[in-house]
Amino acid sequence: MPQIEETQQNVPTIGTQEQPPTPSRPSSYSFDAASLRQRNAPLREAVGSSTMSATASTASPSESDRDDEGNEFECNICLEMASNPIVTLCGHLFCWPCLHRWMQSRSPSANACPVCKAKVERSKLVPIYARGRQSKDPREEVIPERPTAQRPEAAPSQANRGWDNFFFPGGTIPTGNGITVGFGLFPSLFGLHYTFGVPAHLGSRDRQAQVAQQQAFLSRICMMVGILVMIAILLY
Amino acid sequence: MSSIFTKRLTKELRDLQANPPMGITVQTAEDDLKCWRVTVRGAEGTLYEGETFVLQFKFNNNYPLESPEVVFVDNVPIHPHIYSNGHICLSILYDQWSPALTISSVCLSILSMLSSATKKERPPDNAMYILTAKKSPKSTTWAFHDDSV
Repeated sequence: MPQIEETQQNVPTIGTQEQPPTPSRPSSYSFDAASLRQRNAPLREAVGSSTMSATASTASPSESDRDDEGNEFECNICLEMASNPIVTLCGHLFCWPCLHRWMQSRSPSANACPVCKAKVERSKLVPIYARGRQSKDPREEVIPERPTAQRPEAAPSQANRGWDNFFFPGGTIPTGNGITVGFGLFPSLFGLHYTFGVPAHLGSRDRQAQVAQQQAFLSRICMMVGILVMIAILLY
Repeated sequence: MSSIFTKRLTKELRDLQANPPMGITVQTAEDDLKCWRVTVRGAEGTLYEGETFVLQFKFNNNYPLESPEVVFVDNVPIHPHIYSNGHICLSILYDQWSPALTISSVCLSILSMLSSATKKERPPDNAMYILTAKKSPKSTTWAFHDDSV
């Protein structure tokens, strides 16, 4: 304690002498490191070895507690670490065998996420491929293969972008992108081979509507050009 | 018995004993974990304050894919959704069951149902129901129409 008082008295004399009482107020809060160490020293000595043994004994239960409740990757059904993990679109994690059994169950809400009741579709589940090795589960034998991920096509490089339009990622939409528009009377002149670059992110209905619209527009242009050519032939 | 049944019930029992929610105590889990008795204590400031009730859980091998059979035994609380034979009209125990629910969450739901009661009374069709009801509430076709209590 004498050290503290010494520093407190030194400060006001160096600083402004007009207000000597002000530094005394913060004095109760301001300690220097040495005095703090001194204050704590007897306490540390008194507790001494008992704290050492205490920390050693408390360490193990806290770790086991963490094992019990701190697992972030528990399946919401079996409450174990998820094996063959799969995640729903609503973000809830399950073992694939557990979720599959739930979806096959007779329960009226079997097509809903057990946690949040959001609709769950098998094709929209996302498997999680972690690096850890998969422990073989006997349940897998009766459970069908976990749904695979839906991997989009690789992003097209600049060089062959035009050709990539012919292949739909995943190849699911049968309405082709390449549309050939021919004009009956002058096939050699007006046989247009036209490919549309329709944004792939549109829904299939939107895409069809857009294709139909473009088709109508093109045929109108063809018709006009054709009529103009006919008039030109007739006049000359 | 499937391994998931035993594993999950063991884990739930351990969790409930280690840190039980307020007002919920596991009494026994016997017969291969298939039958549990859980004491619930009426929450403070509600009509059931100071009263304790015993819930009996019976699990079949499909738990947690199928709901447990949950009834009040011995002292049945007087509540508009609880019949005098101990059957509880609560949707999550029947067709709104989800495997993500646990014994602890079911107990909390029942406690919350008790707490939100404004009047201690039996369901209006109590006399009729207890005459016709089977032993297990799961064989009853329930209609859930009152969200307020």
